[in-house]
This record gives sequence, C-alpha cells and structure tokens, in this order.
Amino acid sequence: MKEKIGCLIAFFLIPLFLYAQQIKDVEVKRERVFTGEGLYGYMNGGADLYLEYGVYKLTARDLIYKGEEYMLEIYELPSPEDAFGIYSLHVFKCMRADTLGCIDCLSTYQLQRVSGNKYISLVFPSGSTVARNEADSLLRLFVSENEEKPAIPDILDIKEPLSGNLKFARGKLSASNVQSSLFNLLDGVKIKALWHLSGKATRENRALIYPEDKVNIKLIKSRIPDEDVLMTGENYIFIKCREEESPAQNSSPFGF
Amino acid sequence: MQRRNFFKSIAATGLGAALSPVIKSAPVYTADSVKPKTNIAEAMAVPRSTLSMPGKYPGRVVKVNNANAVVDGKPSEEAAYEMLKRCMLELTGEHDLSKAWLQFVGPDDVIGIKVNPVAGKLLTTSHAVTRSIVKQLEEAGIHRSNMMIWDRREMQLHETGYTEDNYPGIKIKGTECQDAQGGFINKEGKFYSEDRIDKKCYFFADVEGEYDAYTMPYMVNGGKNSYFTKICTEDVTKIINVPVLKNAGSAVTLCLKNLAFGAITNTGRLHQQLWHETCAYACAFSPLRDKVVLNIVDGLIGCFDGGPSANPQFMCNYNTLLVGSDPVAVDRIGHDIVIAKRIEEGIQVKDKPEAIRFMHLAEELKLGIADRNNISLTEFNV
Repeated sequence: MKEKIGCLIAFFLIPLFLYAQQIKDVEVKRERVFTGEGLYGYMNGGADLYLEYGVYKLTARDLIYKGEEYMLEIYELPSPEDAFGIYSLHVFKCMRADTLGCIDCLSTYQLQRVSGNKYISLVFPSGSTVARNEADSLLRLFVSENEEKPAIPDILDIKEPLSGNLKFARGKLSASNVQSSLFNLLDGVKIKALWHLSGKATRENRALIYPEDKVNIKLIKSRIPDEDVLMTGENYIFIKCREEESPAQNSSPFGF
Repeated sequence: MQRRNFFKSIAATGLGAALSPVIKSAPVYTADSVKPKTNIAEAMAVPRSTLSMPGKYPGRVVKVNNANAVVDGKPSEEAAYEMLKRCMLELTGEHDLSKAWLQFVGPDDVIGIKVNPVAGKLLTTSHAVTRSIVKQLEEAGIHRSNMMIWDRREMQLHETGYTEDNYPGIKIKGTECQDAQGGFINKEGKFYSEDRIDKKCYFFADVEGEYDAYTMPYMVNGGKNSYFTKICTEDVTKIINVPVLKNAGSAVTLCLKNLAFGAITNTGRLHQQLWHETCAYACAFSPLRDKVVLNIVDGLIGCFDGGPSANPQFMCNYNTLLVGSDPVAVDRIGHDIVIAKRIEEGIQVKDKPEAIRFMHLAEELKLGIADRNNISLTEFNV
C-alpha cells in the first residue's frame, strides 16, 4: 500500500509540462498522470468503472486557453471499443453530437470525444458560450484526427448518431450502469462484452451480450422469457432488455 | 471492508471528486432490516431551546425563480441578491431587509455559513449566493469578523474559491485540514483535524468504521463514534445552512444531509445502513438543532443525476432559491423540484416514497415538517 501511495505521490510531483507547454495559446496550470490503480488517487471509488474497461493511463490537465479555464482528461484504453464504452456511459443529452465524422458530445459544461483508443473529456467550469465555442479548437491541439473507430457489430443495425443511443460495457459494473436491470440479469454471469441499444424509437432496449462461453449464454437464456431472445449465435445472445425500476435507490454510494 | 469500498464512501479534493462517474448500483435497500443501535435518545434528552429546529417558521418555505439567475453559465450575484431579498422579506413578513435578517441573527452572534463545496468548482454553493448572504448580513449590522464560512473539508473550501483572499475579514474553516505541504499529521503524530473535533459530543451508531491510511485523514477517526466539529459546538452561535440543489440517487442531498454529514467525523461507515437515519439523527443533536436558524438552498445551478458529485452531463440551471427556517420542509420542496426534473429527463419514472424517509424520521424528531400537505409554499417569479 505504501508503495502504491508513494508512486502516486511521485506522479503528482513529476512535472510533465514539456509537451503541453509547446502548444500555442495554452497555459498548463497543472498536469498529472495516473497509471493503473493510481486512478484511485484521482477519483476514488469511481475508478472501479474505468478500470473495468481497462484504463491504463490518465493524463489530467488544468488549462487556460484564450482566457478560459478548462480541465482536460485523456484516458487511454486497450481498444476503441473500450474508449467508446466509457464515453457512452458519460453521455446524456448532447447539444451537438457526432459531428464531422467524430464520435463526440457537446453539452453546457463539457465536450467529450472518442479518438481511437482514447476517451477525452474537456470540462469548462464557466459554462460560458466563449468557453464552449473554443472547446473544439482546444481539443484539436491535443488529439489527432482520423483515428480508428470502434468496430460495431452489424447485427445492431444502428444508424448515426451513436452518441446517446449506443452503449458498450465490459463487465457487470459497467453493464449495470448501462441499464440497472442488467445487474441482476448478469449476476454470476461472465461476459466479455455487451452492446446496448437504446429503444428511444421503438420503446424497447436491446442488448447484444458476448458471454465467456456457452454455459453463460444458457444461464442468461434461463433468466429471461423466450420471447425476449431475439437471436443467439456461437458466442453471443441478442435480447430485449426490459428495465425495472428499483423500489428505492435512495443514496449514492459516492457519499460524504 | 476493502480499500475500494472505502474509496466509494469518502470524498477527495480535486477534480476527481467533481467528475466521479455515476454508479447506479446503489446500496441494498435495507428499510425492513434491523437497524444498528444509536444514541439518538441521548440527543433527544437534551432540552430544546426557543431556537431549536424548525425555528421561527415551521412548515413554511419561500421559493423564488429567476430566469436570468445564471448569465452565460455564471450565477449572477445581482440576481442572487434580489432573489434572496425577496425570500427573506416574504418569509419574515418584514418590509425592511435588515429587520428580516435580525429575526434570525444579531450583532453579537458568530454566524457560521455552512456551504457545500464537495462537488468541486463545477457545483459548489455559488459565490453569488454566498456573497449575497454576506452582503445582507453586513447591511443588517453584522461585522465580517463575526462570520465564518465553513464545511467539513478545508481543502475543498479553498479549491472552490472559499479563501480569505476572496472573503476578506471572514474566517474560512473546515474540520479536516492540511498544512501548507499537504500533510495531515502534526509533529506529535496526530491529525491536525483532531484538535477541531469535540469528543464530548458524538453520534454513536453500532457500526464500526475501519479505514486504511489513505482514507483515515478524511474520516479523522474510526470506531463507532462520529464526533461533532468544534465549529458547531464552540466556534459559532448561529448557523446559516446553504446547500446546493442536488440529487443523491433518487433522493436529495439538501439541508439535512449538508448539515449531518458536514458536521461529524467517521461518516464512511454510515452510508450503507444508516444514510437516512444519519441525515435526521445528527441534526437532532444540540449543536445543529439549536443553532441552525436559516436554510437557503442554492438552486441557481444544480443537478438531477450524478449527485452529490458533479457530472457535467446532469447539471442544470434550476434558476431558483429556496428559503426557510425549517430544514425538513425546505428539503421536501427541494425533493419535488429534483424529482420532477428527473422524471422530465427520463432518469426515473415516478417518485419513490422511500426516498424521503429521512424527512419523516426528522419530523418524528420534531425537527420540521415532512408532510407536503402541511407545508406552506410561497412561490414567486422575478
């Protein structure tokens, strides 16, 4: 434990401004890098979710750009699908989504984007129009364009925009964040991946689940009515995904 | 308890706290289970005073809305001042603003303004509202040296701009604190925070708090006692409570939660089994029950999901202030606002009765009115 905390402190102390300071118009007020479980030092219990997707590096910068304050976080993950997954859990309603071929979401205080295997969050605490308007140009200074896109299974037959309609989970924790009823459905089930399609148009959510083996496919099948199974394959099961509200979700686990 | 679980129930300074993701796998519903014993009976045995909750105006809440309360993402101090003024005059029935304030505080009081900076810069009690309170107190003849802005964590106060530079002449204080180098421990090997807690006054609950070295400075102590901060027991004579309009799951974190979890140590152990009880019970202890005179919910900017931390996706401009002496009634009205927003946004389908259990517990303890039918709400648009 002491070693972990030591490593964490070392990361806090190492000045990593060299790269960012070279970028025009950007003043880096603070820059920190966290690797692996060092993420706990940054976001406490929230790190569980990121680690489930396999986040192996986070670079967090407090910036001033054209007089506005920003907080930029770049999470590096094993694959574009994982990057899309953590992104998809953080998107709610976008003022603008999936523009110019990117997977992105602009809201009052935040611009989020998937760029290859990176999930990027740019927060502007002022929420001002100026800060929001400059967010794209700031982000372009830190991320490259034309990165590899997540590979989305054809079976989902999804049309753009992806943001807000499609989610991706890697395990039970992320699946329950996608839709809380999945927590019970997947209890004791080992999964490799799960795609979740919002039923905004059809009023029916759907989940494409890739369990670890056929035994786990059977286990899922045994827990849902036959009419909810849309399709099964060698390594997947495609189902209707019914939401049941829990009677009382009264307190957040992120407590004080 | 494992390290990860501890982390889920502590706060940390910095952006990480503000941007923690929404984790919807909430604690197990335990309403029907046997609850751990507490010392609430000892608190109730202390005689009430004329100042005790629910204060001068039981069951009365004033709500003011202003579509221009937030200008280009920033809470307007000018708007906040006028909204607060309107609320104070309406609540008290006074025509003179100073007289309205002097119904609750006097020049000899030391007034603790309890803000809520726990979600970081994005979603702290706004400076627009806090500065308006300070200004109106000054206009009523209260000297700045008799004011303190406080919370549980001094580090978070500083991070969110509650500094003596920004509030000259006003003391800024948190129970949990660090030295200039970021250390928590003094030369004697004790937490600095230990000198700021009152070991004579505590909330006992038969749940053990066990924390690792990383977590302990944020809890101050483990064991079964949660000690009250000396800020409440010694430093201040009156408290003005200024929470932010936020959700906590499908419940709210407003007046009672801001006070209860903000005034005691060793809270990590209380979330799983005693969240509702702690919100109500801690407020029944004399340092809170007999000193909190006014509750002002800052709803200029708030959130409807992801609370109590700040997830930018779920923040919104409620453009509202709620004011009352009765923290339970104010919470009840605030609950309706947040739940209506959650339903409108599709976060939940309907209100859940269990979500206001802490308000009913507080009503049983005579801290205020939880029954909506018995609450008088006056609402204005300015």
